[in-house]
Amino acid sequence: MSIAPALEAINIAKRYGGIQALDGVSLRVLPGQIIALLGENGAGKSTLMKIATGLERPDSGELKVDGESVHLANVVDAHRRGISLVPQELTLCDDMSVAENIELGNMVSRRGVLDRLATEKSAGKKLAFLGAELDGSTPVHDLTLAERAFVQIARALASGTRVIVLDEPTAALSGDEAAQVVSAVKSLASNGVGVIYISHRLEEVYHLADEIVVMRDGRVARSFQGPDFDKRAVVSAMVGALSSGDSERSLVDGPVVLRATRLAGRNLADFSVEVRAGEIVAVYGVLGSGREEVAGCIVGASEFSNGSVTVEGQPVRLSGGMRAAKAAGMGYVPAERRSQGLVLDQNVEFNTTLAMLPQLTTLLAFNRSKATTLTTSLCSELSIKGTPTSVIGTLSGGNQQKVLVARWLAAGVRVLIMDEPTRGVDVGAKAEMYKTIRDQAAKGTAILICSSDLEEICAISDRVIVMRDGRVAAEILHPQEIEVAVAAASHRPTLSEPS
Amino acid sequence: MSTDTPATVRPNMPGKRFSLLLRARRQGLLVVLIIVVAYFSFASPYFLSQSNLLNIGALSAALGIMALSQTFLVISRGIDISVGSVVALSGVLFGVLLGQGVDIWIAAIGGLAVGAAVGAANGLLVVRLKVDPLVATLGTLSIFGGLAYMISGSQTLFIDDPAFSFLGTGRVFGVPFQLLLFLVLFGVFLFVERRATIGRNIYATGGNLEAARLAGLRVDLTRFLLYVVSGLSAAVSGLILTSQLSATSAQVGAPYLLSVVTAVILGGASLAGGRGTVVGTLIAVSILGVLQNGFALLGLSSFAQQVALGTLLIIAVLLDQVGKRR
Repeated sequence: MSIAPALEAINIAKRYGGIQALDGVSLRVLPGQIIALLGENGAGKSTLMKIATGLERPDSGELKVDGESVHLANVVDAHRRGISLVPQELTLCDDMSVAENIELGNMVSRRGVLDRLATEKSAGKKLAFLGAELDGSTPVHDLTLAERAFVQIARALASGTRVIVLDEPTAALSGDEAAQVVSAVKSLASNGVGVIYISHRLEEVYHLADEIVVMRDGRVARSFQGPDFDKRAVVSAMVGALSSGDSERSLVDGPVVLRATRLAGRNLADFSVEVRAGEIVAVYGVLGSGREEVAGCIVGASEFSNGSVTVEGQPVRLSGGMRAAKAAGMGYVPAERRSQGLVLDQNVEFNTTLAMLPQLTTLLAFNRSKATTLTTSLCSELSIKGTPTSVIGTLSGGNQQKVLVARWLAAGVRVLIMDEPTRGVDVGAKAEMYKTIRDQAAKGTAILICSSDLEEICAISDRVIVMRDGRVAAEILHPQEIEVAVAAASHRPTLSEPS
Repeated sequence: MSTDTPATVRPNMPGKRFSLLLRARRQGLLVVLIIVVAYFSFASPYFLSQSNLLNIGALSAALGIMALSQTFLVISRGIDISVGSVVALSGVLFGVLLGQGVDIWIAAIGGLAVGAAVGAANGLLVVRLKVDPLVATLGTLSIFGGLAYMISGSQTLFIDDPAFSFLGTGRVFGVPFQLLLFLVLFGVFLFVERRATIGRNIYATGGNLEAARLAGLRVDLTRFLLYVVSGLSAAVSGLILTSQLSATSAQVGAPYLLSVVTAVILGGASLAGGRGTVVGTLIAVSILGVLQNGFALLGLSSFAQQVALGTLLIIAVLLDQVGKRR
């Protein structure tokens, strides 16, 4: 190879207590190359990236920047050598401007007075590097999520940046916004920056990466050269064995359990849906299509919800909020499991039984032994890795999500409504969640899933409702046609990505 | 993932056998209590006598009762700093009613009712009108305090009724009645925290309000009732103090303006919600009581006591943060 890699990791090992997190991993990134790093949670991706960006020191192995062996003392040292990390969680100050956020820490000042023009100029250069058109004086709270991601990435840039590590930059974004971030990443690479890209979104990775490196159990399981990837091989390298089971589903004709008629919300109008016992109906739409409001409106969790909802013919009072919905037999797994779903300080049992406290109460006292028994059996039924006394915050995203499902199974719901059921969980956990959802449907639960993940919808739904501009754009009955039809219905031609 | 042992410890929730000792923070607090007690018992021969210890208990009861309800309020991510004024308001109202010739027990009920009512007002402000609890109760602190002065005409009202004085000075088998009352309430609060379903409601509400709401819990009702309980407990404390002094004035609440919240935070409850225990609060109230008594015994100024208290509070919170970082 004629060009020296911008960053090379050779035979890196790292041990935490009894766990060999990395076991002789090598990785190289050429200038301008995009390497996608895939792997389930716990595969060693984050540890490797922490070592590459100076957050952790390896037990053994070598790091080279531009062919020269280096020891990274800390993050600042790594940054100085041209290696930066863009963390997954946005760390922006909402009330400050775009430029101030980008230049946070090295704002230009003259005798202690901020030089706003110079700051905006410097920030503007970085944004241009990303191919992003943003006004440096705009306050961050006025930005879309994709634009915030630009700001976060731009902040990581410096004049000598060689390699940028992006940790799931699109995890919280909808399809359109993710596409914008993806094109910014391409722009970075075309300017000669090496990119290490961590993502759970496979389609995005196939589209973007020059090379895919799959990690499993602290090693590189396999790497693939682009541009044409063998998708099945990538997935099977990740999970070890391909979890199939997408057997052909036929249309379900049980009795209608959930019926929502002419629902309206803030950006939702005239939405109606019927879900039969045992049926999995998906509501698909990009951000802003109204899809993200559907679930909240049906269970009355949104203060704007309006319309009529019945469960098994009985009307549900929307103004009664989640309490009324629960009493009617509905369960709701919200999109943001950490901020809307879980009490993170508490344990698995506490979180599992949260929706059925009255059933576990005798004369004011909480029946703890009954709760423990129930939680234990649900943990094994849904293969949740954790005991009833494990603190929920220490579980992986996939397991946390399963606890939220367990919460409603415990309460014995007939309708389960899930918003983005697998957002931010790894491929293996996704497959398990799909199995859980199918099992529940097979038991006769009516299931409504609101999702912006097309693969997910194709994988599990019997029927799809496509949203656009706050209204139903199409209804697709045949799962085989879903992918093409949904893509066509959900994007207006002017917005669709040419790829 | 969950390989390290702390992961399987239940923080602040119904404990296993040694729950009292499980939390390093609370252990630290217990150590502080032991050190303070040890110091004063060396410094003053009178300190460890039975009568002095019961005296400390009696004088801490009013603070303790308010601190119990404040603990739950803080766990639910609320706060009520108006309690000092509620103590005064309910005590003064009681005195005024008595002065009007109202039967003493009806006047007492009137005092309690006004406590519950102003607690409900706080609750409505916070829960229904969504005013930040610190701001809301800072406002009512001023309002209730001013009302207490207006109603009493800034006068000290004297109360002479042997039956009523039992509340603040009476003894049952040698134990001050107010201390017993506090201990009984402590038992009730401990039950609610560890065993009752309402306790889970409170922890869930403070730990993640939105999650609790979306699990179908009555979060608004829970939060509202905690403010009512807080107001009621301040009224109970107001009556105890009135009975103890055989007099009431708008100034009686002054010592409680900040000490209730101080005790609760010292006891390990987090202003961020979701964490805290009544056992921690009990230890913290004991520390405050011992400090006050010990400083008085040694003839040290109450200003020195304030300095010691503030230092202790900050050290305790710092220890908490160090513990969290690990």
